[in-house]
Amino acid sequence: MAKYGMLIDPNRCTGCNACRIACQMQWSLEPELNFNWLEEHLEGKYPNLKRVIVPMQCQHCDNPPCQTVCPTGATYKREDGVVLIDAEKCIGCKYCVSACPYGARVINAAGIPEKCSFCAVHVANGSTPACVSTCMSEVRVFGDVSDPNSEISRQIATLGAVNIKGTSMYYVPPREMGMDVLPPECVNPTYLGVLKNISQPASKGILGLAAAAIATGIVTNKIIERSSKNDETN
Amino acid sequence: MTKQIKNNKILRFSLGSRLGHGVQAISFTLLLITGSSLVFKSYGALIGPGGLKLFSQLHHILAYVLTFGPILLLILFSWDNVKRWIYDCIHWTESDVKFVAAFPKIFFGLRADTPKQGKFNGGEKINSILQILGTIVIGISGWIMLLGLFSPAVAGWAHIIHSFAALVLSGVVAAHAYLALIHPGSKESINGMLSGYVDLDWAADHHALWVEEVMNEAVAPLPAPAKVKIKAVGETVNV
Amino acid sequence: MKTISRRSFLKITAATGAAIAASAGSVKDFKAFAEEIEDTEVTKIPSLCNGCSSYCGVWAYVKNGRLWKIEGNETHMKSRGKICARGHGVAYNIYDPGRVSQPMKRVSDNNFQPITWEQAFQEIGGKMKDIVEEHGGDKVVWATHGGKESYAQKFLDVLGSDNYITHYATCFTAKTNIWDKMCGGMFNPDFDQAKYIVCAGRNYAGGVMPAAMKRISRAKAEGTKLIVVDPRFCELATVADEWIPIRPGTDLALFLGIAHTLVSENLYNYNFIEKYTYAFDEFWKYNRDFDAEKAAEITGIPADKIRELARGLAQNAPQAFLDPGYHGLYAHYQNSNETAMANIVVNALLGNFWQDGGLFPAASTTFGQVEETYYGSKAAKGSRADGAGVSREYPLVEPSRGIPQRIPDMIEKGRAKIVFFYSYNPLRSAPEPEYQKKIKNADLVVSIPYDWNETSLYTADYILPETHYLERTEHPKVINGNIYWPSAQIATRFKALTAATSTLPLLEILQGITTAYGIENLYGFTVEEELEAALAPHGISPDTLKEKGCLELLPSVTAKEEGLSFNTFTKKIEFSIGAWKMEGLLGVPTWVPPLVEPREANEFRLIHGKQPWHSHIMTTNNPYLMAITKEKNGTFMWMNADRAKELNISEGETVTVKSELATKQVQVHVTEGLHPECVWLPSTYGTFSEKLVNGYNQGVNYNDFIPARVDEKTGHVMGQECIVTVSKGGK
Repeated sequence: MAKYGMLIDPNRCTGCNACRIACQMQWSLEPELNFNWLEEHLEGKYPNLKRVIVPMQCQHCDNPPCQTVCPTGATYKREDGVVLIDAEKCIGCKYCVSACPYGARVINAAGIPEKCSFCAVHVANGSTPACVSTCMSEVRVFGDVSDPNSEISRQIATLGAVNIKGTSMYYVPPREMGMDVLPPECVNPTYLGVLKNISQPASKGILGLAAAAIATGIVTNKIIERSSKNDETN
Repeated sequence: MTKQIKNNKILRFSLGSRLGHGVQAISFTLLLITGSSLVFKSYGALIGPGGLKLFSQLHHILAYVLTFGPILLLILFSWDNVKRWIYDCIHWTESDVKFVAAFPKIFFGLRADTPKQGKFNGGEKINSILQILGTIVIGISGWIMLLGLFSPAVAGWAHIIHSFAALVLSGVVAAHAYLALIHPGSKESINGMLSGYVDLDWAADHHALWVEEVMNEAVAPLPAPAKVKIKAVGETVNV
Repeated sequence: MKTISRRSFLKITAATGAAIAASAGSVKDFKAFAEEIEDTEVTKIPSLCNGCSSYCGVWAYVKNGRLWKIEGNETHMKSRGKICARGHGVAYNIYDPGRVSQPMKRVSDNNFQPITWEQAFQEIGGKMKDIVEEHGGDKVVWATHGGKESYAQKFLDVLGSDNYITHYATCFTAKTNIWDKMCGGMFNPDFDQAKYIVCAGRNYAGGVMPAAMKRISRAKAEGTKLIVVDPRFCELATVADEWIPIRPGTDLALFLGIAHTLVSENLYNYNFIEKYTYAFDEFWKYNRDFDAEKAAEITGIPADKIRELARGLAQNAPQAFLDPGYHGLYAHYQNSNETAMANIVVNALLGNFWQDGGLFPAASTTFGQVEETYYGSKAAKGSRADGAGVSREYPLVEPSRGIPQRIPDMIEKGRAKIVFFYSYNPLRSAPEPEYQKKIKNADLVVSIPYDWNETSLYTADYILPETHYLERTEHPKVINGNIYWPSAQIATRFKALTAATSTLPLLEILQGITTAYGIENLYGFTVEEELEAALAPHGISPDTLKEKGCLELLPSVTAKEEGLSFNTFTKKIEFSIGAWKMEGLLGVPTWVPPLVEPREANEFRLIHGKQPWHSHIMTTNNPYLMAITKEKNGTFMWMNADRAKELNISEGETVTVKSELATKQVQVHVTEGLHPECVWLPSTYGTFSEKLVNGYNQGVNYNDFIPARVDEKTGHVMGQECIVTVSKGGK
């Protein structure tokens, strides 16, 4: 089973935005919706400047927070690593938009979230993702990271790319800037941890307690009623 | 005799209050039914994607009902009562506190002595406060998510608050419903929310101070045939 | 601006054509759409992008009679499989509401009435006939971008007009003219084998050329050093090994300083100079004192750095070059001509002509011709309306390029009575729009545009809209130029989509006009016949070309050790231009300062450049590209952070920019990435055609601030000889 990943080398990116619009064409998106974007970093004082541009998109996390929070199972991770949205199941609650640590989801005109899908449908037909194939500076490589002979695996090794922990993405460390310009590792946003580990269990617990108390109350009331009736009759 | 008392029943809640409460109760219940499909995975799986979509749409429509219905009804048709109700909830006496202390025993059917209570006993006051605050919190957090005008981070925290408050409030509502419908000592009170009238004897037992107050009001303006007398709690009046 | 969902487009079959139902588009079609791709047939048709002068080879993917997307053609030497943001956007322009959808006739100021093609041809043909009869056919001007078509010349020949005028004087005539005179033609860089590259005034990542970036990127990965010299920390500087800021207008000094170092330190290729150059001594005689120190004084680049550049180039020569440049310097300054000359001198000193990693001429080929269909008369050619190549006017300016920026003068002087504009919009892309507006005073102005551009809206009597490039087949083109490629290639546009509008390809427009004029059978062939005839000598059928998209011939330009010959009088690279000397000018380059300089505390030189997601003025109505502009504050004018501080201007603040010609307001981007002496505007904005709603009133254009000058020697506009004052505040 393939495991898909993408390698991005920010050292090659000049910020032309072709990837953004190639993706928009591929997926017939409106001009204001885009699945990938560029984060620009400029450091230094004239004339000693450094600029690094970091292409960003859905990181296809190993344990996606969007999947965790999705109440309907519309967001799901395939065995090959691609995280997809089943529009049939999506109810547009947008919990996933809040849950994504990278802000990778956009809401389309009908209120349904969408995002990069690694062009899964087209990859299945033998194509490359649009952002990869259009990039003139060859910033991106896409492929099967579980295959040591694939191009992406070889490039990861040659370029010393680092895996963004918890995701399917590999970035070549920037030569001229700190690693902090790369996307952070995948962690659930604070609120999600609180939601899943504290508030939801707690509130379910409280509800359970209430139910238990009521059930108990019904029983004890019945018993006490019956015994007082017995007392009376006796 | 006043309109408020007839056929051995006393009017506890006006039409406006009952409508307000009814809308609150029904919409809250439906919101709970639809909303919890997003919290309990097995429940969600049971109704499937189509059901989830329907529930989600219903939940959003009902949100308008719960947000605007009760408050408009109460303010437009029951403003005086609402004022009184809020006043009562804020002002606590020693009898209220003692009631609350004794409440656990009462809940489980054990004998407990409580001092005389007003129109709303201590427990009901707590319930009122929880319901009002809870509804506000659920409402605000819900609208933050629904309107989509806030950042995803804010919406995320709103989600937590909404989910937590909704489930906790549901527990409170369940207990409230139990007391109103099933619990032997208090199940008469449901009539107050249906016809508006509760049994006068029951009321004299459970809300003596309020009955006294009503009687005093009832008596004062009429020329008094001396037949009607103020009686102590528990005594029946033979005219 | 809300556009109609493209998804709903892709669901509509070709049969329903132009009746676009603006359905909100079921968004569940995210999945349905994916399924559709499996079910519906997708056809791939080759074409050539029209987003810039690279004309990258593309594959158009068509589904349900609608455009889905484009991808780059792997073979084509300008794209090598890659497409830039402009390319994607411009393909989508098919659905641009700013398109002119049928012929238009002016009824009053900026007001048009739609007419039929028949009426358009009749009226234009008739009016032309009357004017030509009275004033002569040499009063007809064909003003065009250049290089986009090869039909109009025939028409001009019959009329007796010598006025084929291109836009190139606003772009790079300082370069092409000079390289022609000194080297006999243009030479292009070989990135693959180069070890040391200096780009001055060349930004392959801003004025995007996909294949160039691909090859530069790969070369860098193999260790090639890239130095970018530019007043602005441009896109190419982002990935360069070093950015060297330079005082704008002084690149000539840098090149002379490098040349001096190469000679004085004996680093140059003596052999090459001996064998293949002429007038080196003359050059050295006039420049022996122009050392790195002198250059440093003028450019602001430390002398040691200049020497370092020279040594770096020399050490790696001949696999090293100073990029010949494109627009970046060569329509910009009073000294642009000399700058091009010095550029050639430096490269010659490195001996990198015809060497791997150096500079090569473009490979080329020829096509067959369709049989002549016109046997009528041709009027005698009159004189040029623009004076290009005419003695005592602009004898040194190449007529093949012409002088487009002073058409109103030609009209005023009665030299131009009828002006055609084909794919050219001088009201926005030439300096001094208020002056350019006087074009409407001509007896007849016919614009053949793609959209409601300024020239059409403000000056045209008739607007004859051309199809979108994806809607037509064209005769084949030789694919070469600008960057080195050993083989010539053949590619063309094949019709991928049926026009849903009443537009026509240029050939049919000219057929209509000439027939109505009374010239029988001037273009008595179809484009399919042209295609067939053109490809026949190559033994290729049009079907084969359509299948492959781009065909590569055998290599015809490769490195040569011996027997180099240049297409000049001496067969060598001439450091001294004979034609200049004949006009009484110095033949070799020496230091010439810019025409104007900023002096006061609030004065700046106004310079411009390209953003990688726009293509000068032609993409401002594109909603996708303008969405990027909005996100990135793309309309902002750049200012150096220290200068901004002095003037108390902060990021995003609106300022007033004033030159002698214009006063405009614009927001400022405060940056460390710009030389303090200048402010920088992207060349894209300032659209003043209300019909181009996405671009209208967005941003400001540098052309507003400069007069329409003509450089005496090469005709260029001196587009950066412009001093503006900048002050806080505005409307």
